Amino acid sequence: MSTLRAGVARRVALSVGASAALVLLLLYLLLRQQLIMQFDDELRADLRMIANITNVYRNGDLYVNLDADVQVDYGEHGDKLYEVLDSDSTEVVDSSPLLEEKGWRVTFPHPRDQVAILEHTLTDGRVFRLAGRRMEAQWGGDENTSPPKDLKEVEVIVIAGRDRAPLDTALWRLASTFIAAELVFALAAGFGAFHAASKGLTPLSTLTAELDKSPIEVRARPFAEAGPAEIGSVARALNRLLGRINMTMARERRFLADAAHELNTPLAELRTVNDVALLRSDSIERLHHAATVSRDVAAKLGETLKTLFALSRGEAGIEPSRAIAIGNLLRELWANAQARLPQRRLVLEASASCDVEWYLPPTAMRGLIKNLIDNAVAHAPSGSTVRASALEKRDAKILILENAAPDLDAEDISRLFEPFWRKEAAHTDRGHAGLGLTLAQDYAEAMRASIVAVLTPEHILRFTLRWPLYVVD
Amino acid sequence: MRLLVIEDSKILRESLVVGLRDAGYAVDSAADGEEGLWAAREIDYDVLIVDAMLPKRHGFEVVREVRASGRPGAILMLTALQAIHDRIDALDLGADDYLTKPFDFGELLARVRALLRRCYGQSSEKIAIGPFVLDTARKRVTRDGANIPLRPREYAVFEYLARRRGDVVSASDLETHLYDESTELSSNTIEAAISMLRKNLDRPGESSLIRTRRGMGYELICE
Repeated sequence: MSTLRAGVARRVALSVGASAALVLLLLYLLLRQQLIMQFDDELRADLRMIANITNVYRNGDLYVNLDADVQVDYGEHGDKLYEVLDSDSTEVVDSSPLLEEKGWRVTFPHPRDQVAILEHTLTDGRVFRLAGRRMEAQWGGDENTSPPKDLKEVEVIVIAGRDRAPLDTALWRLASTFIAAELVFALAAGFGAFHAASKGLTPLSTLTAELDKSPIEVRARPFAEAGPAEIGSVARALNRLLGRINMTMARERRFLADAAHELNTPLAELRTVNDVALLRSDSIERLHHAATVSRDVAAKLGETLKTLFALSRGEAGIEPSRAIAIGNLLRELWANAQARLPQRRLVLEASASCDVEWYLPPTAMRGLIKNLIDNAVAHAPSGSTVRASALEKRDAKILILENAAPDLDAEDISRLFEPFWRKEAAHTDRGHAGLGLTLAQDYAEAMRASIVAVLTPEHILRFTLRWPLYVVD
Repeated sequence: MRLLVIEDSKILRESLVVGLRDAGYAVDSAADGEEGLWAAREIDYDVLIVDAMLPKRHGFEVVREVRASGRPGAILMLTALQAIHDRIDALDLGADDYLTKPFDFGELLARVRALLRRCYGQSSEKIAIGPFVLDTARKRVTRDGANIPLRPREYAVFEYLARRRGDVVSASDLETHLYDESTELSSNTIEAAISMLRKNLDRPGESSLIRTRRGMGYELICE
């Protein structure tokens, strides 16, 4: 598996290696040039020496008067050569034993007065570097006598050569040294970068090790936020995520506990009423009572489960919008709720503003209003009035439902939409499961509406539903 | 034995009252914590069956207040709360036992019997009084192995006197522990019940098992 550390080390090694290679290449070229220049300087010195001893004599002879101590270098097995040509480069006037013995000659095109340098490959394959120039042969007689007057000045072309094998060897050694240096540099850079990256990435390694040890979804304590700014940001983001996960998990646990409690009580009712009836199984009246109670409890359980399924499916808002007469819908659902609890003697006061038609998903809208009305009918004081009004603003359409809620406190408002929440911890009222407002909120969200609950100082509970105009039209 | 059921679920409360009365107990009931606490402070119940999540006063609060008032009755918590810490809290506050919903009614009866045994310092379901043996689980009385048929009220009087043997039990004490609020008591209810019990237990020529201590009450003669 690739790691950030290895990646950083590789990149640093590559960039340091490339930079080092460039510097070393320049240095190599400089030194190489230096070696070649040094070689050529020695070659020029050879040429000067040969030129100095290329003499003309009284009888017209012209040859290179080579000293005995350098004859070995210019011998048949030596690594130097010379050649003297006439001014037309057609006839060899004199040449070193290496050339003379083998009958070879070297060519030097377009020689001039200035020294020129070029390379020549001998028949045996050896490459010689040659320096040559055009010059006048000097008088080779006694220094105390002048050359005869009839001896004309003789122009010749003098060539000196050196086997370039020593130069090539030196150049190869230089190149090898630099290649080795380049490799050492790259490796050292990689090694250093790897260690530097390891040290620099320690906080990140610690963070990932912690994540490996306890994945974020089961982690109880927050990540350490101290340390480098980059890691601190990541840790803070993870802690925020952790907080949200913990909150969600706590809500889920509370929901499950509430759901279990909600289902346990009717189950206890069913079991006890039947246990007690069976203790007196000879009593038809007792058995009949148990059967009747069981049927009612089962029906309520069914309602609770239906609501739970509706919550889990999130089925609201999946149908296309249709024109809905808001006033008619309010009155119809109100009549249904009243029929279930006629003893509450509540009154619905739907203002004229409710007689509008809005385009909304009908099932979701129906579910939303039904649950709000059921909540009002269940909790508003007997004989009180529930008010509904509709507003059409420039950017939104708003529906308001309000009822008296003398038992609610301001701090209860934030919990109104929680599943199974009731003002009393006891779930005595078995007419509902405490899921109505949760479901209403789900329906509103499915319709992309917002739902806000507010408790006024006069203890009026006001639900404000707001649809952005692009949703309703 | 007199029990108080404090439970907000009407169905459960009524079923418990019916079932416990069938089992021979005098049973009162309350639908919320406040009413239940008031009753528990007023009347000397043998066992309180208390739901945890009650309206007006939480069941745990009721338990704490009852214990603070010094009432000696045993307390059985009956609740849908399943968590271990809920059980620990209830027991630490003074409950004697804990039963989670849904429960088996037979188990509830067994736990009530166990609590009553503990209250009256007994180790067995059976109480031996001379030749008589009371089986408190089956609500049966035998003399020398032979069954003596008793009406539920007569059995209840005998069981209470047997549990309190050695004590002189007043008529008002018997009224308190053997009759619930649904029973209309007349001035001679206890006297009539004792008289019927004597007729069923005593043999001609023998001294009565139940002695009347004038102005004080009744006591079982155990020799």
